[in-house]
Amino acid sequence: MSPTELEVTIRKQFEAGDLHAAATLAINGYGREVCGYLAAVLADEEQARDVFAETAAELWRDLSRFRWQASLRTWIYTLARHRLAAHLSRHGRQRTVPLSEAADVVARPHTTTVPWKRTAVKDTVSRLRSSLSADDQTLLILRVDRAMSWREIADVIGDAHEPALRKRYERIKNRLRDLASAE
Amino acid sequence: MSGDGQSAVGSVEVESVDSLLRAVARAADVDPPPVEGDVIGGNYCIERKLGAGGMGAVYLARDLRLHRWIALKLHSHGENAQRTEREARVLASVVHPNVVTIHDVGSWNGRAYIAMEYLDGGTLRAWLGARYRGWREIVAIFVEAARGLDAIHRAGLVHRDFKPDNVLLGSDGRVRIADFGLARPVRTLPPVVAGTPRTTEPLSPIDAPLTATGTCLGTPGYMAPEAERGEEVDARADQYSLCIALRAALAGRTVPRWIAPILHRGLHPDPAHRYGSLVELVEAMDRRLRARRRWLVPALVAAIAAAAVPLWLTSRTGGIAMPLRACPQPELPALHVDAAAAPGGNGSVACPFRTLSEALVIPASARIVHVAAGRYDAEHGERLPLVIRGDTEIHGAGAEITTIAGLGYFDPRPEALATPHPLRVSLVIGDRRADVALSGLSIESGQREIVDGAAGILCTSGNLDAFQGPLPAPNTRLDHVIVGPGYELGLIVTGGTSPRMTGCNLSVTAGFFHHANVGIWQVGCGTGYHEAPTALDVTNSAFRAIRAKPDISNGPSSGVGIMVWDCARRVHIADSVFVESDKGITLTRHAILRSDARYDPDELPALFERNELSAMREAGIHLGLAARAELVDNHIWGSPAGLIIGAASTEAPRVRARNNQFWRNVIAVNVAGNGELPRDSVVDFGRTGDPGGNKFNCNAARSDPVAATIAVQMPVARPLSLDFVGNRWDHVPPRIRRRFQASSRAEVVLAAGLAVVDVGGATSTTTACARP
Repeated sequence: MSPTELEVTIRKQFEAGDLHAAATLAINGYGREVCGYLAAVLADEEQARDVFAETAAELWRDLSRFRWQASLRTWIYTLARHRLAAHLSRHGRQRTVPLSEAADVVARPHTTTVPWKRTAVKDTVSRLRSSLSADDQTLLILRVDRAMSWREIADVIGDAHEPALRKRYERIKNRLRDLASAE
Repeated sequence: MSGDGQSAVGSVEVESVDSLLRAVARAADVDPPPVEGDVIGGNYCIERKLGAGGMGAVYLARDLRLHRWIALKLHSHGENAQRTEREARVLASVVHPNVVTIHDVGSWNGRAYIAMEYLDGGTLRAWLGARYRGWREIVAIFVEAARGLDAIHRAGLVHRDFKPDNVLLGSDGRVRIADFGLARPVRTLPPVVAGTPRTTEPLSPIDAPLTATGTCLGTPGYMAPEAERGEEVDARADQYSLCIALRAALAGRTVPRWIAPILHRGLHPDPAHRYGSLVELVEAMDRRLRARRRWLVPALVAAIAAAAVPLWLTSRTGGIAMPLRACPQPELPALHVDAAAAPGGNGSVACPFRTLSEALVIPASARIVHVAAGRYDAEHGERLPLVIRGDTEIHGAGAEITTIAGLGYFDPRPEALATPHPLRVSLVIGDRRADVALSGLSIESGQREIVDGAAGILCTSGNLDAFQGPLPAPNTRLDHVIVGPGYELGLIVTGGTSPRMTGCNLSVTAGFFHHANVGIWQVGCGTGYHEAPTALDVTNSAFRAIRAKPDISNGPSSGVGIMVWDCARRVHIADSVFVESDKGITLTRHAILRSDARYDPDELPALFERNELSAMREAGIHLGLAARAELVDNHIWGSPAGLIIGAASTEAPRVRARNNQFWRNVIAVNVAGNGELPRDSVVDFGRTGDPGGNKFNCNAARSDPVAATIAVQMPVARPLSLDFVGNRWDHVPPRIRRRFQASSRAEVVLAAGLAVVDVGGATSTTTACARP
């Protein structure tokens, strides 16, 4: 089902009063990409799933109040961003590894390859990404990877206007370029 | 980035800024978690999440066909799927009442799952922590776990990750071994039972190991030495892990002596000297448990009889009334130092006793008491001046001045080593009128595997709630004290229970604390029922191999050289060396620290280098809530964080640092952690006209150039007085300075200093504040 068809189908179910089906379809339809966005910012899949579970719960609770002034996809991203911000304020951006997972940490295969040759590009990209704030990452992911319009991004990020977003996007771009050149 | 738009990211060319953006913005889809009501595999209806770990999450689910609860372990993508399948096959090959039962395996949305028996009794760790458990109860449950492990070994497998978290209990109280993610076939098993042929091939067709030999798998703290070295392991590695867990579970309890040799053998560093199989170990324990049950009633009768008719043979030897013990000996009265009968009158008391099994009490009538006893002398064999066996308390109560010198506590005779016994020795200095000096005191067990869970020396002023008069503070001095290995707390200093007390002055000179969980632990009066020493001086002491617990359930008390908790008026630490401790010094609340300690650069163990987890939570100095610290001439070497200044408090810390060297720390100064410093905090690393002279050479030795970029980490949200003036930032690469200077969200003034921050990967926190 294409994104447009998905949106239309969900809206039909919503307008028919079948909120259960609408919410289920929304979570199934948009879950993977929203969860992927959360995982990219948090750099941790299980944490992302926990945040997504909170997002889904909020969607279930508030779907009846959704007014369709923006797309449902945009709204789910908005919910996810809010949950993400709350999560980050609770836990910070440091990934905490419980000691019960020590085995996994230690179990990473040892290699004699020096780190900067091992996964140079991946490491550098994740380093560059983590140098951005969560909102800057959100802006970048939504614009570049999710191909959202400036209007949609403004809805997700809230109280940001399109020109301001464009400027911010350019600043992020320049900063990444500078950081990459310093590598 | 070159002028034509070409950029080098790492060693790979990136075509343009756009491609760089695409790479950074890439967010691959991730499967959302199952929600309540989702049906997995057409049969398992998700109820709720039970927990998550490194390999995925575990859900409580309902088996719709058979109408029972199951635990559904849903793994992440990628390599874990392979591991899941292998785990399922491992589990399916073992059917035993003490091994968790597997029902099904499959995949859901590309993620592998295992449906297994749901056990609602929690883990063995939770069981142990729920309430006090007697040794018999603990041993019985470990025997069950050993039987489960043995079943796994019989199937030709070795678990490789045995620990209390991986042992589950059912509501029936029966234990089951679980979590076989690391299990793998053994190439050669020792004979399981006598008469059974040695197994030379895996008995089940499990996949080849995922990780090559040389890789270290398991949980630090529970791994056998050969596993830590990355060598091939067999069932005896599980035996070691089980004995480690059992030893930890029994810590602090008085256990029968027969347990010690069994543990000693199971914990032998050389697998060849351990039991051939867990069956042997279980039989040894079972035999003794049965024997104990058989003799329990007669022993009780004998004990009652002994109490009713005390047949003490008393001999007077150098002023000590020493009861000769009947055998077996349930209880002995305290040994008393008769000061008046001593050769030196009130001046001194010599104690040439041979065996001390219970308390040595110094009477209140003594003005000056000098307890002298030599150490073990190999030439004289049995003529040991002092051998302490059994739990012992030495009370220095009542004496005006108590000096205990040369108190030996080490029994290295071969027979003692062969049959080690649990020992707990407490030196209780319990009268505030006494000045106490201890010198040449050596408390060593020589049996680290056995001794655990006890304080080496306890200095307390006791419960003086009833005392109404003024309390002159005593002075306690410990010179040349050796504590360890194996004590939870090398030296605990507490002021007793009266909030009226003003504390004492304690000085430790040339102490040597090793393999304790906390070298010196001073408990203060922040909560109103403890009192701190007025001053704690530690000079010329060494804190070595302070042990980090295998879990962090005990919070910040894990593996700390010196922990000062609340209200020490003055803490001075000079010329002391901290090696291998989780944190060198931890200070909380109102304590005022003046430290010029060293953190030894030369003996960082290999463990430190590769144990990322413990490395993440280590610091040279950790200042907790509102601590005030004057740090001068410290040499903090190699810890991931040189100095952590705590936050999240309404009280403002005052930190002044001069002429310190933060050498090869991942983070030289970590301000605040997840919180914020109050507005009026002062973190002073040198001001104009008073250059601090601190040197920061962060992580130059580490191979990862990314981690090496961190100099100062400061998620500071509010303005505060934070000055870095005249400090030297040696070996910080220019590109890092550029990066730092490029990010100028300056909320903090850093004059001629440098703050950087970007920790890639798992420990990322980014904030950079600078004004060059």
